[in-house]
Amino acid sequence: MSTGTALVGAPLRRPAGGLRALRRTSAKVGLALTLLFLLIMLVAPLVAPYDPYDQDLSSALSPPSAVHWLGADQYGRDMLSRVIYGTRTAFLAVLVADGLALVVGCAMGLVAGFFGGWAEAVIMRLVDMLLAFPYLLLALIIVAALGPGLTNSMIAIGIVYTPQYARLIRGQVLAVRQADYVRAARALGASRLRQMLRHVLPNSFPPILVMATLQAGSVVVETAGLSFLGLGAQPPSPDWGALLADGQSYFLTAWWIATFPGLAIFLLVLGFNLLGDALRDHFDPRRGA
Amino acid sequence: MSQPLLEVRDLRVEFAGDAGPVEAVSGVSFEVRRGETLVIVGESGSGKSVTSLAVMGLIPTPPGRIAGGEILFHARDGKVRDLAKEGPRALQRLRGAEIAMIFQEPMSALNPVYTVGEQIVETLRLHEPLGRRAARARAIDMLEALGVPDPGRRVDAYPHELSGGLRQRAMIAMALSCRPSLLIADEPTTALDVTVQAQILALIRKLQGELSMGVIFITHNLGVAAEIADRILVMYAGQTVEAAATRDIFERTRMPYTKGLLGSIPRLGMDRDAGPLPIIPGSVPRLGNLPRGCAFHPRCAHMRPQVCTDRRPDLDKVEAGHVVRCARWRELELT
Amino acid sequence: MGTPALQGESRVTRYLANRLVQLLLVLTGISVIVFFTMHVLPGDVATMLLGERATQAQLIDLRHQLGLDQPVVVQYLDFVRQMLHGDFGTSLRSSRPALSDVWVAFPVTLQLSLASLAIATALGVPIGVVAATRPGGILDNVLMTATLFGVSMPIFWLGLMLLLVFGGWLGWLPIGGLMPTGVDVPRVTGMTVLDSLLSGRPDLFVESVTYLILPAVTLATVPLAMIARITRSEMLAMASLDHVRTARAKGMPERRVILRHILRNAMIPVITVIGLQLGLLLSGAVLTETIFALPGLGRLMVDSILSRDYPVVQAGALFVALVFVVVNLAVDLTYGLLDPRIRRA
Repeated sequence: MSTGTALVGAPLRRPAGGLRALRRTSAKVGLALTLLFLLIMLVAPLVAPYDPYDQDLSSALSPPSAVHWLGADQYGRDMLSRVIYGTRTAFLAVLVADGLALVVGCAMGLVAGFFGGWAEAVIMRLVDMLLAFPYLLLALIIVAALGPGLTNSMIAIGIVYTPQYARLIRGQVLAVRQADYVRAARALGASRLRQMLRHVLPNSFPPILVMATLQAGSVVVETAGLSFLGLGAQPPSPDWGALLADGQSYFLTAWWIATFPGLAIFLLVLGFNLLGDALRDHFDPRRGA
Repeated sequence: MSQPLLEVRDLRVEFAGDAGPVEAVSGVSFEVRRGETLVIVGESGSGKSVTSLAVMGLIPTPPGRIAGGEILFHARDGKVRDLAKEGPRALQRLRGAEIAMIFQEPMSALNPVYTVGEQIVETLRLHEPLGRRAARARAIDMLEALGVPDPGRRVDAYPHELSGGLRQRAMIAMALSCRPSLLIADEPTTALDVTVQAQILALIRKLQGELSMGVIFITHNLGVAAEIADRILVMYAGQTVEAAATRDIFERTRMPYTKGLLGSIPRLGMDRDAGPLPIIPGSVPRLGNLPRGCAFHPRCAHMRPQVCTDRRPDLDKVEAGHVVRCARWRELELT
Repeated sequence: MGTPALQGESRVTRYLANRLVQLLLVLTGISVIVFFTMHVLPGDVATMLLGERATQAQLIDLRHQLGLDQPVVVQYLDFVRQMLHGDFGTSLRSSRPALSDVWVAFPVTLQLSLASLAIATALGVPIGVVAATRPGGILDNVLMTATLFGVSMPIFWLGLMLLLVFGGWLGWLPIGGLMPTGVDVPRVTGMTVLDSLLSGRPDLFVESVTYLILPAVTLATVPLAMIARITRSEMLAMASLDHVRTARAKGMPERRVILRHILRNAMIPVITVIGLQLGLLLSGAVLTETIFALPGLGRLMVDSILSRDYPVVQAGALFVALVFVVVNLAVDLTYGLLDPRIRRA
């Protein structure tokens, strides 16, 4: 916003110069956080000091110490190890739920965009319907139908996020379909399927990547949320949400049980969000400030 | 002659660009006297609008700034103020009260969520100690003075409820509500159809007489300029390329660019089948990427290598009150 | 322009009719989704009700009783017919009509959501305005980073942490529930804050507010961050419009330009976003309700899912969906009232 004044000798400043620098920093932080958690997940057995399921009642509810850096839970299980192994469920959720939404959603969007007609009408009505539904309620209903459990909760969240991808891809298809080179390809007799895959997918890659990254954060929060409610991962599996639910019962006496898994969720989600924002700014600078 | 109102000397405005600052206005000078109309003519990108915003103190900062020169304004209190150096407070007091501006698109220049009356009242109450009622009455009077039919009802209309012509009248009513001594009109008739255009021009002329305002009128259309101007200043690529009294611009044209603009004025009775109006080929060069020599040479029919391409021509005095920036003005027979 | 008034009225009527048809379509769709997930997908209600050891004859008998042997379409129409009569079945847990359980829980969620929305708006809008005043400035960077933290926050964790600090360690605020045990507010609306006032008990009012603070703050976090971000970006979008330049050209002080000509215009889309948040809050308060042991709608749904009390799940889902859709419709209509271009056109 201009101040509406032009003072002689006012220093020339690049618009939003500070913001750009911050963007670069936040992109780096986002990438670092995400990669850090990814690394932890890959080497979990090597870095976890204990077996996440090993009970040791003698150190039950022991606070953070040199032995248990993040303390121990009510069964004396090492919280650090449980949090470390929790990265596995978190990334599994991203892979399954975000992956399911992406694949199914993109397929729906491609079909709707390319074939139009009744296929498009049916798919897009379904998409609108799902979007008109409050997403948490939708996840709850699906879990209610499928029954509680980690896999079902991941499927439920996957379904919840599907329509957004479908809408995104359909828009992309409609935009790309107008572009000259697709018409040229059609004139040359390229098959429709080939057009879809050759032309639309590469062009749609940036927005899909941005959406997938931002959704990954939401998926982590929501699977953890469902587990926290007892609808997702069941004890004793070291899922961050389930750990938090454990911690809730002891939060006044043993604050560390709930604190660290929650912090892990927060940091990973923050990482995905920072990364997603940075990617969006990178691919579409106009949408920034 | 009447007393001077505004004297702009060697005004420079620059904007931050990706490759360092770019000059949008480089060394423009002019003056406006009370009751006089100066028309600044140029294509888009010539720097004419930036010049007018600089006078208003409305250059968006950053990325823009006034990099040099003086904008001397003879204020009502008798003091001469350099608007290029005044602080925001002082400029605020002058804007709307002594220097007012009307814009090209009355639809977007008026706030869609307030009635035109509210927007006129707002201006009045910013500068004068008026109560709501008194201000509203003044707003209705202003609308009436501008020939808005049924002003008592129209005062409560939202901008989108008015026709283009009425909207522009409301805009002018707002600008003139505090009886400014200088009015800047940035292409106020471009968005209107021809008959309305003529009415609005006549109105501005009439009010100018009544208020003895100085007017800076910005347009890309020399035809409009001919109707209203006392003096005309032609800008190209941020510089003055010719300036003279209106008659001299038309009858003693010295600059090929001005000549080109004259050629693109539509005239009544012109043969429709004679083909499209001759327009100047090419387009305004991008600031920061100006050609060497005369900025106009790539589009000029009279271009001579070296003479026009090696050094930027100076602004030469042709006769009293007529200046031109062309290396070949002495040899060219343009009229 | 013709006769704007007349034309306008018919246009508004048509718009409203359009929206109502849309509303009906969405509700039908939602009922289909709820019906199919509950009745048709996996599992068999009869088995579920009778347990694994039921005999084949018992199962067939119960299926017949429940109409499960009918074609799916007939079952659905039956379901809709009962629904329209307000009959959502009986809770398997409480043995009360499912809808009345929902009705009791709803005010708890409504009170929580409204309080959260008030907090989120009261803080989010000013934060967005301040950030937009100097885009790229230090304050903008700090505030926008903070809002990114806000949207990344798992609120169930934040709620626990707030409880730990303010309820546990500092002991300033209660650690959950609606009211102290044994204290009852005479039920009028079901919203404790309102009811305590209506029954003329300022002491209970103060009490109920202290119980509301932590959950409301927790639930407000994400919408607060969203509102701040939207306010900022709408302000920036409005700031570059021509009418703002006009306002400056009038000699208006910058602060007033910001409030009258940027914020006022930006509020139109911002209020829409705020309204849409209400729908999300009402349907998404379950985590907060769980942490703070509030007997709200979300908690009721989850408990019913865990105990397979399907009539309540169904009633709750349809009720929440209906509220969500109606709130969003109301928001859309409000948009028209706020924007004179739509209001009068």
